[in-house]
Amino acid sequence: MLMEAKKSLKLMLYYFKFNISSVMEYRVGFIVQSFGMILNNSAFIFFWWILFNNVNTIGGYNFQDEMLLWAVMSTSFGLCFVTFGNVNSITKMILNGELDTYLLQPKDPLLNILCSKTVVSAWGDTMYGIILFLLMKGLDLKAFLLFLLFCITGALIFSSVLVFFHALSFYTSNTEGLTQLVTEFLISFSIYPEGIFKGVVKFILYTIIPAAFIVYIPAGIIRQFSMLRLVEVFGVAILWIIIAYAMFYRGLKKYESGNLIVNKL
Amino acid sequence: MSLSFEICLRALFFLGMWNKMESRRCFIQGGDYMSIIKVQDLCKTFKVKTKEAGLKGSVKSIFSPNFREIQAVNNISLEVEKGEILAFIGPNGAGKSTTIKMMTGILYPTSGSIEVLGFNPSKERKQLSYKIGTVFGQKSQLWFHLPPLDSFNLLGHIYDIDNEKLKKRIELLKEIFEIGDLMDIPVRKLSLGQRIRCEIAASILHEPEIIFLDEPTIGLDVVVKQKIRELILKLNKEEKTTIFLTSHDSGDIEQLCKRAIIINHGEVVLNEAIKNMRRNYLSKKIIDIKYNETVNGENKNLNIIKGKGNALKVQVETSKENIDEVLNTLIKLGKVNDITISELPLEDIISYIYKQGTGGDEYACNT
Amino acid sequence: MHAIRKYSQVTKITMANSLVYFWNFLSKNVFFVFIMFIYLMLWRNIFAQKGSTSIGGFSLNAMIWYLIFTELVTLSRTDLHLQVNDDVKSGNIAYLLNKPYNYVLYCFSYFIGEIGIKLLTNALIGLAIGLIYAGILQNFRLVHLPFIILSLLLGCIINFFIYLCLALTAFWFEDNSAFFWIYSKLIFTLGGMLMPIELFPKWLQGISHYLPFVYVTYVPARLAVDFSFQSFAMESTIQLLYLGVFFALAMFLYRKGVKNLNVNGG
Repeated sequence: MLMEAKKSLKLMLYYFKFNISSVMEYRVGFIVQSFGMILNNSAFIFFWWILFNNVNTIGGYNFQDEMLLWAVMSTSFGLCFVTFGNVNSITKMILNGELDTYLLQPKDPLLNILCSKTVVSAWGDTMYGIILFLLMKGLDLKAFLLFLLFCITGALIFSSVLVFFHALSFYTSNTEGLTQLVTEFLISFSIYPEGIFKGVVKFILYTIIPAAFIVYIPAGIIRQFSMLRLVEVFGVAILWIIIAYAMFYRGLKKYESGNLIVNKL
Repeated sequence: MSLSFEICLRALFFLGMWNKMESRRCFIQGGDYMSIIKVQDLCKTFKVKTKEAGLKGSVKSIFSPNFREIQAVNNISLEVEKGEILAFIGPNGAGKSTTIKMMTGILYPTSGSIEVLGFNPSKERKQLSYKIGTVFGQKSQLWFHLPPLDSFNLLGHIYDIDNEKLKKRIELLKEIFEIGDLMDIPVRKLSLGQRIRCEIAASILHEPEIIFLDEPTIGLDVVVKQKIRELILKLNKEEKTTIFLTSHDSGDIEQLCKRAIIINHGEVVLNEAIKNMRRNYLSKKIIDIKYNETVNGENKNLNIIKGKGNALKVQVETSKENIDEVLNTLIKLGKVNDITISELPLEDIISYIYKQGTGGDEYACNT
Repeated sequence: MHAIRKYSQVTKITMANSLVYFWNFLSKNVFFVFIMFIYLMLWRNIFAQKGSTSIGGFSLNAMIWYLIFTELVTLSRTDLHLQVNDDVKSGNIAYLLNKPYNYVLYCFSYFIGEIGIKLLTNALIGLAIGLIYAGILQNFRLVHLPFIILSLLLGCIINFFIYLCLALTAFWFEDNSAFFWIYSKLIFTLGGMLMPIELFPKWLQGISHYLPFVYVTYVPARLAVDFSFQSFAMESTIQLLYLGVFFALAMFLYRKGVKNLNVNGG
């Protein structure tokens, strides 16, 4: 079991190096896309700056808190698509039968698929979050380490949620639209102060669209450390990983039985 | 530890080993005939949702869907020996891809047993994958935008090949496949022939014992086809790799394979050496004969396929007719300028065999 | 859930659309509802915090309707610029040169065709959202509607031509996707899409008025919530002006790019 985990980590690292070198082939494209993404995201700084000019707190957050939220979200998202760049292609691969190539290789199919691609612009998101964090918090080492930790857990939860929804394609014919929506939901919810959401919505944010565990609680922990909440975040991350794996492998069994029910419509 | 406990442990251990041994019986038996692929009574049925036409049908299919069972593979049994080059032939929809998918572990059989290199493909897919290589039509193992060398290095890592060994292996493959100067050109810039050479090289990087080749020469020109065939033969001779070849190209089959398995409608229609196929199934010969002037071959008991001007094309059924008599009759018709006697092309033999196979409705299944 | 699916199946068949397009259609509309919901939450909170009933001259009601209108413009956008991008990059455009029509005008007429349906469905959904989230728009008079629609259309068309110009830069730039992002963010900010420019500091408001971005989203939305014939006359004239400018620019870029193509052999 441990041997497997070690091998998987080695594979991830290798793919990481491999992807970086293939991205560097198109150096100009890499710089342009990353930089463009950073610019893209900074538009929101403008938005919040104006809003906070008009009012002091929104949903219990001030400007700094909001920027912190953005930083964690951006780097989590970035890390997710840098390491697991193929996550949003899973549905396409299921429908096209592209999974077969991966099934024939002697490595864990899910990890193999996820890591085999990197999204160039996501590097921009990753860097943006880090830069923003440093601008806001300065050289606070403890906070920065916590930040990195939560970006990793955030990336893991983000990708697990996406894998979960993509794995639904094993059962229905095409959940691409649904997964796109889920991605947008995840991002959109994660960039607004928690306090503006109440009731049912808040419930959703703690369960099926776990923005709370990706950004809200982590941001809170960076502001004010709490061991309990830290363990909570870890626990939820592990839980989502298990859910994603379970869903994917159950679906894979179905795929291998060849009984993909194709909706003739 | 108590003695009884120890005995139990040993018994369990022994049982476990016994199970493993059972599944590797083929190696223990040894001898000249080593079947490294054993398929017995393999069946695969697919359940496909069907929908009636029109609006009503669509609505109905949500609430009470209808299923139809399609039998893609129907009791196939075959054996492949080590070092063979086997042709797996069948028309589209015959169940070829389905069978191969089951042999490589991508698909679970509905019933029957498969044993490849002693492994059960669906249960021990990972262990099996270290020992097999595949080149499947549209699915490429090479990264499109990168040079082949990068893909080779990645695959080396995926197959846990030791760095030193990998380097040596790549050097060897570069030589055999003559892809040395293609190594640093992005795959998307290579011609189809070059790409296929790299694909096959990639598939044998980890020195597999069996490779499954699906239509390796499709779309290639004559010269390149020949080259690829030579490579496959070389591979088989030098590395003793068993080759399971799917092809529609009779040239591939004639030059590479000694034995062919023909399947249609999910069943094995024929399983024979190519030589025998020719001899047993169709004992037809074609005689093309050209005369100095127009001749009339009618009423001479000749089976004339084509007659135009000075030329005649005659078919002889050597099991029923005496070729000596036929030739005599033909020569007597007039002054012969040219004569060619040939066997029926393999393609025609195969089509004939397809048609001979079990009847039943055609279906389109997931092949 | 079953009932909804039943009806969506009917839609699918009668529209004879492929599954992909339908899901795209649905998800875009769901997104509209969803993002307006978030904005509603956000602004309710802000208004409650501020304690006043008006921010920058906007009431909560007006603010929500304002945002619906700006979203209406941005969501009623075709992905034609991606197609143009592909055409230019793949060299496909060479084949289109032989056709007896102007490429720019062809794109435009395609856009009008597509946008008709999009705008209509978005408008209906926007109406529903507005009525549910905010109630009837205050100070709204039916007689103003045609003019609002006109301004809205002008905003959409200007948006289209700017996107087209950016797409045509593919003749010179290998990777111009960054341009699209940057432009859309400029609309987000200086175009007043995320919030009315009345909330900007004075100096920024001044600058924004000189840039074309406000004429895409801010102007039509502002007219919708606070109509006056005077401002309509003035603003829509400027909209027409910018339309002309970007149309001319698109034509110019196209001709220049094509010339470049011919000279280099494509």
